[in-house]
Amino acid sequence: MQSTQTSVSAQPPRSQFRFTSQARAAWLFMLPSLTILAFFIVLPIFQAAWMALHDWTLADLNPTFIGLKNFADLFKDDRFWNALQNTLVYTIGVVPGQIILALVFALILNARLKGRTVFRGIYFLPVLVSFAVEAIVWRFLLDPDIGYIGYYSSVLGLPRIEWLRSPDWAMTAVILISIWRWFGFNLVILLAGLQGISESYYEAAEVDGANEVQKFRFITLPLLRPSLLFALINAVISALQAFDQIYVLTRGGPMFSTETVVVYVYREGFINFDMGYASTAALVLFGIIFVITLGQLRILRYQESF
Amino acid sequence: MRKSSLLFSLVLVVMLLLSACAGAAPAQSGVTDTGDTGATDTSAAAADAGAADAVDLSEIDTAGLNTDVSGTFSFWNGFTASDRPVMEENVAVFDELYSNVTVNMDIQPWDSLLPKLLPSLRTGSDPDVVSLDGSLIPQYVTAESLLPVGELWGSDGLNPDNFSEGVLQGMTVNGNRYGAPIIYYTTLLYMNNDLFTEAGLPAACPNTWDEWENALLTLTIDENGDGTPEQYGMSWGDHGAVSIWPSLVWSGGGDFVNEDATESRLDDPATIAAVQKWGDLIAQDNILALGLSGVEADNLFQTSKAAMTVSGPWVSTGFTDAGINFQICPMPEGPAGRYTQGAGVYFVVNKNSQAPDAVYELLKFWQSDWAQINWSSKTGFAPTRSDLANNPEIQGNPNVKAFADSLPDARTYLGGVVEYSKINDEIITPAILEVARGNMTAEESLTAAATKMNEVLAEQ
Repeated sequence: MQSTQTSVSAQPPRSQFRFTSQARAAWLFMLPSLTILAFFIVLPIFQAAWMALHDWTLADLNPTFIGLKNFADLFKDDRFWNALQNTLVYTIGVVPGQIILALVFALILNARLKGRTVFRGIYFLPVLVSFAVEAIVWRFLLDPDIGYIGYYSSVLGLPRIEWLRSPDWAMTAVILISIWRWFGFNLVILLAGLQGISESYYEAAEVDGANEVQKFRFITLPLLRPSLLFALINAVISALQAFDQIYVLTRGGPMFSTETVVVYVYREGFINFDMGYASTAALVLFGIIFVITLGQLRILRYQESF
Repeated sequence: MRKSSLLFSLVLVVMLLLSACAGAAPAQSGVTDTGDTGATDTSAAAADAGAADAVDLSEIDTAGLNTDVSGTFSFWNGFTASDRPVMEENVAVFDELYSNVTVNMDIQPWDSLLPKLLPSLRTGSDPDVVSLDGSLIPQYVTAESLLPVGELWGSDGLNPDNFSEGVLQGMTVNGNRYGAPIIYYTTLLYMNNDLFTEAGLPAACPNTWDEWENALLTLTIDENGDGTPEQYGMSWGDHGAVSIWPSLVWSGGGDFVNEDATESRLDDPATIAAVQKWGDLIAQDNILALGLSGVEADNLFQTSKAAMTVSGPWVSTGFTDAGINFQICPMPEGPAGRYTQGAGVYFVVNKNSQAPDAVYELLKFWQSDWAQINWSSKTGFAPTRSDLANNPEIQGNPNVKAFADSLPDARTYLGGVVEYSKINDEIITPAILEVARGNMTAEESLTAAATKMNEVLAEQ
């Protein structure tokens, strides 16, 4: 009892702790980041919420307060629901594709293969190249009339696919291109995670007679969980915010079949100048991402025990 | 291994640098849908001084111009493609001619320029003058950002009689003029003479809808019978391009909106009939591929996979360079006449501009014989002034002549409509494409679209 009291009294009182030189130094170090966060993240969120309550055209100096009308209009807007559906389809298509492909290639590259550094670089290359350039190349490749993919498909007797021209295929094409572009990024994260797993766990498992599947299931996956969690949250948030890949490849078409919520927000805000309505859609998306990310953290929360 | 890693890293860095450079280069120009070269800030006085020096200023007719005016103003524009050097040259010559005027010109891609334009206009005096697509002018007028320039078109200024009705219509909102044209263009029919001859057709422009339809059906060739032609009769872009549908609807006797832009005419029987006719030719006879951008449509024609295309003057150089044996034809005449869509990019003036007099001089100088002929001969665009159509330099270039001759057939699409993008991109185009894809009849699709369009028009 005595020892407990001693250890507690050794800690500075809570009010004093704030003013220690260490705490002051910590706040000072955090100050630049906090300032940036406050001005470029927190403040715009509140500004967007304020704009959502107004009939606010771009750079409007005298916006009209309209309460929740923008929200009421948004929930009746077929285009918004279509965009939301497209966003979810895109996310469901891209995230598992990216993560599973990255995991498979990370496992292969984690083996002591010759030239794995080169392959690692090759898979990461699409992340480094400007997407505008990649989109132009993909548009040419996928063109069913003058593209290589269309040409070799016809040579092989495969059915002609209109890819980016068809409302039925455009989303599939965008998903596949996005997986190609981003799986290398996740591969690097997962590979780093794999290389952090001590060999001793596998040696002990081998001594216990575990096979490869059991080693993967009971050692690799649990110990890779922090890396997987990061890759997954990052991939989900990026997919829900998909804009550049869609805008450059299809501009949301054909027939709105690839229009995601962020593309819709851009259109409303910067083409139709309706910033109030665009802010409303952006806030709803913010809420959706917030809830999904919280859910992911809860389901996949990091536990070291396995 | 270490050496190879080092080498590979080096290669990666080089590729990264290359891609970064490439990323800054090609994008799309909103007007001509050609390439661009990124944004720069150019003082016209310094920029391209060589080009201005090469021009003998004494040869420029300054009648009607006030070269004694003074002032400094900023000019933003999106002429980033092959027309950029000509824009720089014309402005540099203006700067040279007006010794007391300084123009700070900022050329940047349309995609960068447009999002920041309205905030800039509303909150300050920069830019004093900007190039703006005619379809966007009503939106900016409603936002109370532009200066009506009635006095520019007064007795001491520009003479409206020298401009076609389409040119004037494109910058007029509620009876007020809001600028002066930089370019005004129509879209015309490009035909591949060799493909016509190979199909046993005379290499002559189809003059009527019947002749055009016959040529389209003959030139659409499905060699293996799989339902997808190996050669299309036609190619046109249904996004990122000037729409061909207005000329089809007008030539069929229909329209999109009434004269004062307050009511939809999509459900007009003539509009429905025209859309149904051409929709059937696409959906049932596969005369063209849907889902193409303007550039992709041009590519099909350029690779002889389409026998005809409808496009503007900016593609003629590319087709010539590709060795295509083509001619440019007027749009074929429909039951109600011959029409083409005319569209323009205009100088518009910031209502907060501190130097409107100097700005007006640029707008007047741009319409001068020298500036017009220089622009036209170097870019392939027809002059904005219809009285220059008979100029020998214009007549000497058959491509420019074709476009200059088509100006009387030009009409402005959705003129005076404030919510142009919403109505065109989100209502009219999707409704027509539903018909062209065979998903709906024109009556079903356009009647529903007319209701939506009327709701938007009622709010404007």
